[in-house]
Amino acid sequence: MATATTTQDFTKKTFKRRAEDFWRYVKRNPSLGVGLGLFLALFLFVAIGYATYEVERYRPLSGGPDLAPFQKDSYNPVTRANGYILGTDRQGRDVMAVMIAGIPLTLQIGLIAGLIGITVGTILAFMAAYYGGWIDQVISTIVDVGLTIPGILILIVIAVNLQSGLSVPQMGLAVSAVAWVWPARTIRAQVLVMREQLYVEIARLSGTSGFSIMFKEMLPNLAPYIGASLVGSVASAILASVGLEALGLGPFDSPTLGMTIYWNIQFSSILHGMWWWFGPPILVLAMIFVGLFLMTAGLDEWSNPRLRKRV
Amino acid sequence: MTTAKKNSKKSSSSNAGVGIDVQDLKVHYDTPDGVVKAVDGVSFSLRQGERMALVGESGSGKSTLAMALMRLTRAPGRIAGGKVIVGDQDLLDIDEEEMRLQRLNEVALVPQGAMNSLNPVMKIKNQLLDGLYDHQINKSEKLSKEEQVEIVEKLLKSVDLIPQVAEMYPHELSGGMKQRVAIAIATSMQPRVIVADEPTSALDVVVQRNVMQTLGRLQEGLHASIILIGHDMGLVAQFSDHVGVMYAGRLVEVGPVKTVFKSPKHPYTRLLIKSLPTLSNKKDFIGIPGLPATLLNLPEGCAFCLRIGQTTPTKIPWVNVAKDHFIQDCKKCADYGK
Amino acid sequence: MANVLEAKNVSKVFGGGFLSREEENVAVNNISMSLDQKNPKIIAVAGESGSGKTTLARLLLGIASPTTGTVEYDGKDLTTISRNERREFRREVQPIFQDPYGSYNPFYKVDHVLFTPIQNFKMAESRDEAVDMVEKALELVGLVPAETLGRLPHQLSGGQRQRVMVARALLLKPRVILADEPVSAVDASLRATILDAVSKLNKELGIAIVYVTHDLTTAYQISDEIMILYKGNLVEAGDVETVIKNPKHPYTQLLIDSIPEADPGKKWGKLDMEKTQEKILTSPSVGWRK
Repeated sequence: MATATTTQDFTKKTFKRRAEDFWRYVKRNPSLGVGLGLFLALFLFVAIGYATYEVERYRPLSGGPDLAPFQKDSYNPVTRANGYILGTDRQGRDVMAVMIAGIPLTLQIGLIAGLIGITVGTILAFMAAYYGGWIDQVISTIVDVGLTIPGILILIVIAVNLQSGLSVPQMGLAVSAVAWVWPARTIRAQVLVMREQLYVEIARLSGTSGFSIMFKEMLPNLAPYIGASLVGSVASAILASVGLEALGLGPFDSPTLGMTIYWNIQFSSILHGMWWWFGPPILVLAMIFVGLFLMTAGLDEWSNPRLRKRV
Repeated sequence: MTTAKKNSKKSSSSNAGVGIDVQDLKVHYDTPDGVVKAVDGVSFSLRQGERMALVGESGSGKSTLAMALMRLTRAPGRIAGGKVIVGDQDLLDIDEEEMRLQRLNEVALVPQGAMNSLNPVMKIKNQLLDGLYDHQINKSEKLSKEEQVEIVEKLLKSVDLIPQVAEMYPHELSGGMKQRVAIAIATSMQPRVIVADEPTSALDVVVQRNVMQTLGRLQEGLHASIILIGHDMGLVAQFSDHVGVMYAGRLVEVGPVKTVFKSPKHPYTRLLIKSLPTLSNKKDFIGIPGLPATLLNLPEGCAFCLRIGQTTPTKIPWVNVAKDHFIQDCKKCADYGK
Repeated sequence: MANVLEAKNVSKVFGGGFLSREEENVAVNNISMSLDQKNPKIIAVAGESGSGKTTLARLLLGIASPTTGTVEYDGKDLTTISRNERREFRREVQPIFQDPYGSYNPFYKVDHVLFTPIQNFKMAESRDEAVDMVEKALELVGLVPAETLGRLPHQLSGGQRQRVMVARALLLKPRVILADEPVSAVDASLRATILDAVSKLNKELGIAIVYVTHDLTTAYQISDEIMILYKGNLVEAGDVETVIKNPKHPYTQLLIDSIPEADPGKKWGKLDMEKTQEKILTSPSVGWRK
């Protein structure tokens, strides 16, 4: 019975063991670790904020205008003798509340656009790569043309036409109109490679239909790559939305990070030295982008074992 | 200096006639699950001009051993002990710079898939001269254009390639030709020991025969020792003088090729030879039962016993049973498969 | 009665043509062979790289179409059969590929490769029946179901993976199995068990087998007939004992002469390379020997 030293039981892994493996992997892959850490910090910030702060004060005229942090609010001298943690902006918004409310909104836009973009992109990529022929020609041509037109132009056209009462979800939808193009192209390339794999051939010879092959054989193996693309997609979606909002083409009533930047520009906060107003959104955006970038790098390494540097 | 003279000059020093002497070589890999003893105390020696083959299945440690002989072991592996004595120099005892000079000059490697290790954007002649330059610089001699052409032509001729090959790029050559170039590079400094790791495994049978004959002639001309690593027992039988059988990182039998093939003393060798198909007659299929051993936390006792389902508690002695013939003498499984 | 699988003067040419930039490459040149249902044999297709043996295998499997000539299944041309007939063909002619790792989808356990065809071809009425079929097939190839099922591909050795592939071929009870270098990526000591399993498929289950390989020795051990391919041409074919023991074509002679025998007494490489190469270029094909 050659079981003792010749085979090992890999099938049973306790939760503790899995947690240990995950932690060990994170140590080996610092990009992923730091990226996740940054997002964890943002998440905690928002969660604690909603639990302990009066987030309603993101609205204009919640307090006196132009107040520096902890400066006494002459409009509410009794209740707000110690002012606000991050002060207020020109229109009386509590900056801290704006941050707490705005972060999830911006992330929401990114997530909606990213998810729609990846889903549409993946579907089109699979159809083009697997079936080939004229389907591939049509989709590839649209994708190639779409990639050469600057996304911002398309977005401006869309946003201008949707101007009246643009909501956050609508913003997400608008950005998704351009978010699907790049994923479609990169995932198509991956599927083209995967289509030639031996196990796909065997599945076909075992009677698996085209659709099942795409869904059951190829998709699970592409999951890490699609995950990494999703993160990249979300990052560019956030960037696009912030860009639009800064130009004044966003949801005016929502305290998204981009809209905050817009108001900063409108009221020349930098010239007036209102660091508590332009500082936080820039810092948070930096954290978001650095975090997303590191996560993409980390996921890249996970989905491509050849990049692994250490055992 | 003619080729044979260089090596006979070397052997007139203290360790006359010894090509390479490996003593208790150990190569370990550290993994989070424990230590993997890829090479677990291997000892053998070769005289100048002799041919030895090291055979084993995948996981036996033979390729790891080949790299360790050149001190090319990469992390997470490390050489954990032993000596590799070439001439009168222990290669494991010198510093990195000295070792770099020893490579190609004293010990040369023809790696597995050597044809894929040629630089695709360099002409053959430059690749041949590359190693020479590296060693020449330290002797502060620079070769003139004429000398370069002469050396390149001589090297190509030694592996039966026409001089026109010098101006070609690797992709213009066939598999067999590329392998010959790799052999020419490896022997350009007339090394004392040649380590060939599966030099012909990717080649067709006819090309293989040619390349091996070329390699053999070259080795004889240099009076160098050659260690051939492989898994093709037929090739071993045709090419080498001695053969060493590896299993689970250890040598189980080492001896002259005729005796080992005619009457193997270790059960693993016996089964290995029995399982070989021949072109002479059809016979029943005899495999080796069980699975190749996992090297992770392998216990001290006989590894082959484990394969057939029994255990031995202590380390098995390495016994000299006849002239130049050594085996792992495990009494428990000695008669298995007779 | 028609042969179950037959290649009639098939040729496969790559590249060339009016608009192509590639040079014309005749991978398979006018080869004919047939597999008989009444007397199922093991036929070896032997040759070196570039001989066209893999292309021929792909033509027989219906993965590629011949440029000229036809491949027929039960007398019907593969390129013109109906969808149902094609489905039946897919089930009755099964491959075993060389790469025992690439044949598996790394995401799934090895069970996937065994149960998928049962599900697709509706070969079992219930899950229990399917499990039973799978276990019997695994045992036939010398594997222990409890130690094989539930494992991921990388947890098995190359030899085990390849045997699972043979078990898969068994499950489908095909009429023909096309094995393309099934043991070249496997250790020598494990080859015997796999070849033994393949041989059993023929001797005990009556499955015709096409064994594509570059290894003449294993081809000799298990085949009844052998075809020697050289640069897309069939240079010699016939009963394996006759061809190997008494080769007529110089290429066959050269091949056999170059094989290193595991016997230090029998030296290899006696033929003169240059002279033999010349003879090869000028000798016509010997064809199928009687």
